[in-house]
Amino acid sequence: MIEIDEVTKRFRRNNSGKQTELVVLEDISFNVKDGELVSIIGPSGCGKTTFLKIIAGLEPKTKGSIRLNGKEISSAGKDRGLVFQTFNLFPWMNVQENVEFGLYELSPKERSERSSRFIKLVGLESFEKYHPHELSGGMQQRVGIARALAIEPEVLLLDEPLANVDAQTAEKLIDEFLKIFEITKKTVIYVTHNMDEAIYASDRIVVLSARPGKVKEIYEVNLPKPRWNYEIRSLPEFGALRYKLRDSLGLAMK
Amino acid sequence: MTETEDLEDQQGNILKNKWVIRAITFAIIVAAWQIAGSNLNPIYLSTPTAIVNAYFTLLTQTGRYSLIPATVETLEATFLGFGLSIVIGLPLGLMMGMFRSIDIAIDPYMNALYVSPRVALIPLIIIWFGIGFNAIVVTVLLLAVFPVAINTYAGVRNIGRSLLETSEVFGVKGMRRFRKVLFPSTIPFFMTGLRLGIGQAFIGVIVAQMLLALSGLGYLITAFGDYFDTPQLMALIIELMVLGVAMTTMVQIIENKISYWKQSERAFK
Ligand SMILES: Nc1ncnc2c1ncn2[C@@H]1O[C@H](COP(=O)(O)OP(=O)(O)OP(=O)(O)O)[C@@H](O)[C@H]1O
Ligand SMILES: [Mg+2]
Repeated sequence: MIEIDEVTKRFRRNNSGKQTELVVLEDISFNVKDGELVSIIGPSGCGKTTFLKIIAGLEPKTKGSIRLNGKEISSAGKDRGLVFQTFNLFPWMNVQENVEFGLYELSPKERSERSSRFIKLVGLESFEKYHPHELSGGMQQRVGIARALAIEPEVLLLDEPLANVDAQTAEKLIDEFLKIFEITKKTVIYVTHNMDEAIYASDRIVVLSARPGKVKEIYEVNLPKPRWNYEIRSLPEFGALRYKLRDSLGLAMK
Repeated sequence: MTETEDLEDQQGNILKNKWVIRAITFAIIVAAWQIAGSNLNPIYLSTPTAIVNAYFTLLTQTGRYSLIPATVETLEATFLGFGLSIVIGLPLGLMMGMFRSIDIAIDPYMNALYVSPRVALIPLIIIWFGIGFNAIVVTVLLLAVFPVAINTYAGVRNIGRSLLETSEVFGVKGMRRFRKVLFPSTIPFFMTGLRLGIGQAFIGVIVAQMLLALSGLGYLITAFGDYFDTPQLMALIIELMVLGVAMTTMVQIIENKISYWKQSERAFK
């Protein structure tokens, strides 16, 4: 269970001698239940990445509290895995080495067992020795997911993981990701720009307003499960929710 | 025929063409030189045939003006000085890049030395090390250590924030972060430093030998210049060019091997 309570983030800037402040996030509050998938959607620059970095422990918050199972989060830790929009693989490491990046505490045997298990889970067996530049964008992001899952975190944080992948691959990958989240029983916070992706994947959708990002609306998604089924996209409920979301985002952008 | 085959074929043609073009240019230059050289006082230009003859005389000769010992000595000094430049320049660049205080302390001196004509220090080196092999190696070090250190430094400074954030997320810090992330990401920059450094090292050797040695290629150049022996002088200059190209090519080959991931990264952008 993640409890997010009145999280505010301000960036201080030195504007030619004058101190200015940029309020990026303001009083963000919501909870994420165990095993739930919550999407965060909002206009560009509203602070989605900043918010995810705060939860990951990469960026300090100005105010508020974030608790994971009752414990306040203050720095990065292996109970949270992060998947980046830009993949952030290490180009000099092959797939296996990238996936094993966070596994230095394990014995060599456990390490290679663990990495091959997750490489298999994302469907990249037989690509272990490939380097990132030899992989497509979609394959690179599979490595990113495998790397984050391999540390066996409770919570998986994803920052627009499919934004740098073409639409067809993204549609295929989201199904695979949903299956993987189900198998591994992860609690997921999923940042996206894409309304269809958000509806398709989420249990709930948090809509943020334009900067300063505030919680504008939270939608429950009551579509049937399992979700990896294209038919869901043509259900009337899907369309109705899409309409509401669009409206809410459209207003948010004004 | 598929599109890719077509492309490869075209590239093959261009490659063949390239060497044809070069062979023709070379032939024209040599012929023009031969004609011009034969009609002038041989002191000015000499001729390709005279230079080839001079080269074989130098090769077969024994004693003070013999080419092979001079070449060996010059290469020895280059590689020794260059090796020292790596041993000193690499850690120096890494430390300056990673520790702000070391950077602040050393940077002004590094900069002052880097932008000044360092060959001006040769008289001082003679006072400290006398004339001879040691002084030459020190001169090489003085020229080559800067490109190595400064490029390594730039490599550390250039590492993307996102890769450091990734390290943090996965709990990789301290020495492990250095080994797994910082050091590998500076390697392409370090290799650029080597490529520039080997050129500088070679300049250092020749200048030092011209000024303070009684042997080596630099010394021979000064000697034949003093005797107005243009064919031998030209033969030596051409040998220097060939050696220079060979050394940079060698570094380039190592560079392509080691930072292959960087090269291919560039190709995609
Ligand atoms: N380190 C920083 N220092 C100062 N300002 C920052 C910093 N990081 C982000 N910002 C500012 O915070 C705001 C939100 O940035 P953020 O990257 O979180 O937006 P986002 O919602 O992820 O946008 P996008 O959808 O385009 O990815 C931006 O206006 C940005 O300029
Ligand atoms: Mg973002």
